Amino acid sequence: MYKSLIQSVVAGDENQVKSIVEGMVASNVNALEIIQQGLVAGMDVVGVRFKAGDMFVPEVLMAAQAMKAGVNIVKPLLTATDMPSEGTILIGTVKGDLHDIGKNLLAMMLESAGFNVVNMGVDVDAEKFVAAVAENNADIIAMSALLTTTMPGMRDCVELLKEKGLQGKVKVIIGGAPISQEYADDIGADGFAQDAARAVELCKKLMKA
Amino acid sequence: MTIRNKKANYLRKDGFSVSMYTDEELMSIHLASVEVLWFEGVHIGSKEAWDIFEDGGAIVDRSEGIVRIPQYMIEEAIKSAPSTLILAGRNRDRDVVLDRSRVNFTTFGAGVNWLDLDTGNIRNTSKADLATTALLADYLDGVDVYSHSVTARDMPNSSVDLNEAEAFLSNTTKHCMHIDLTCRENVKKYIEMGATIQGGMDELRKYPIISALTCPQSPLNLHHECCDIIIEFARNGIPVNVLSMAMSGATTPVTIAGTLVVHNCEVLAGVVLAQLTSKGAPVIYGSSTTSFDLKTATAPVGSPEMGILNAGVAALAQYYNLPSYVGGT
Repeated sequence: MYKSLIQSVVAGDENQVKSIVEGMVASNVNALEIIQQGLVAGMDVVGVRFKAGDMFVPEVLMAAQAMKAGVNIVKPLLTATDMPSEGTILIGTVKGDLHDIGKNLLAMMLESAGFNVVNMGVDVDAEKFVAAVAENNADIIAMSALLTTTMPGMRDCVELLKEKGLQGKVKVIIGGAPISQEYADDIGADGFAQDAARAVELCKKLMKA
Repeated sequence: MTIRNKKANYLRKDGFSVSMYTDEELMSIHLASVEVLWFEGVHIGSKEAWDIFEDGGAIVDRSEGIVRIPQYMIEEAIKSAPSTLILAGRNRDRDVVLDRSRVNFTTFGAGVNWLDLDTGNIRNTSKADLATTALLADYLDGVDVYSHSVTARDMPNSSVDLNEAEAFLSNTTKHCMHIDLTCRENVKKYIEMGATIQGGMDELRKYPIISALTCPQSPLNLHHECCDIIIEFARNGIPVNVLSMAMSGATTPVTIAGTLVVHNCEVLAGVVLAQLTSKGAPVIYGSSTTSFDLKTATAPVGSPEMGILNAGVAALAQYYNLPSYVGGT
């Protein structure tokens, strides 16, 4: 029943997605199911294909846009508690760094995968990240850096979490061109991913743990 | 032997060129940039720069941080910026002249990984590695100017850029262009290093052995440090390279023309800021602008499109009669 919805999401066909979702809503199909089994399921397929190199960034962006259009139709029908969420993720580029293309790509992919994403923008210092943890009840902090000179901001955040006794309560993942698994281990981060697709999987894994 | 005397009025072409753009096309790009700089403006991240722009007559929206620059101001700045520059070395036979289509070669950066020839492993770059690159560039005839090649990942953040300057200034007598100055304070200290070597600011200004580049951020954004670097170098009369790295399809329109327009706006905004700070300040029209690989979400600096863009950037710089610095090829 969801096959054509999934296909439309994968094809990035926003109009088709909207019309199918509207049709389902009119037939009283369960709103949550539409999201999980149609829209998010479509983005899962996109994620797999993107990782395999069968789909490319602009196609992923179009699919996400189509999926979002579908979600917007269904959203008003759900109460706040019904809204499914794989978890809440704070994502931002660290202090002193303004590069955000990869970070924004990941934010969009996480949202499409069903996470509640708080995109904190760029030049975010450790204090800001940590303060936002309580405000948003965050499960994961995802930090990005392109410059080697700004990487230490990631360590600062991990240290500050320890200081505030939040270590372990919120997971920390890092990414960006100069970042490596070694650096993640060195600073005590919970994970590192080399691209957006792998980062989404990492977040899913961390939420199950 | 048959006599073949020299011909009079015999026009010659030196070197090789890929003639990609007509003057009309370049004018179109210029006019489009003029339109964008007036109707859209650029986002400027520095209060001091707002003051400088406003005093110069530009329209500044302080609540949004947007500066709109009128056409006459752009064209005056292009005119007042020097068309010929000397990037000086420690001795006169290492001075390099930048003007029009003169082709000079430089190293570029900044690399963060090093293939260690002894171990065969890839490791982080260090201050010692940077010194090695400067020494090598010093020796190689083909390198005219040294641009800071790798980052000193073993140095503390607060002084990494100064440590890098120490490493390269101590290992080559060719002109040195810094790529990674981090903040106002360190810019001042870097200039002081140059002045110390030359024996004073006047001597440094006369024969600038140092310069630096700074990057606006596409699309249409000159952040705080970028403004600080431009202002400080302009004030001191030392060449600054306003180098934009637009990525077509990611931070600018996917078309070549669209990318050139946005890139042009950013560099011109930097040129205007420099001229308003100090009329006649030496500036270089820089580019690392390239395509964006939509498959891998990364910016390749060797794509064919980059070659096309480079030709466009160089053509624009010559159209404006400004010295240029174009990366990649």
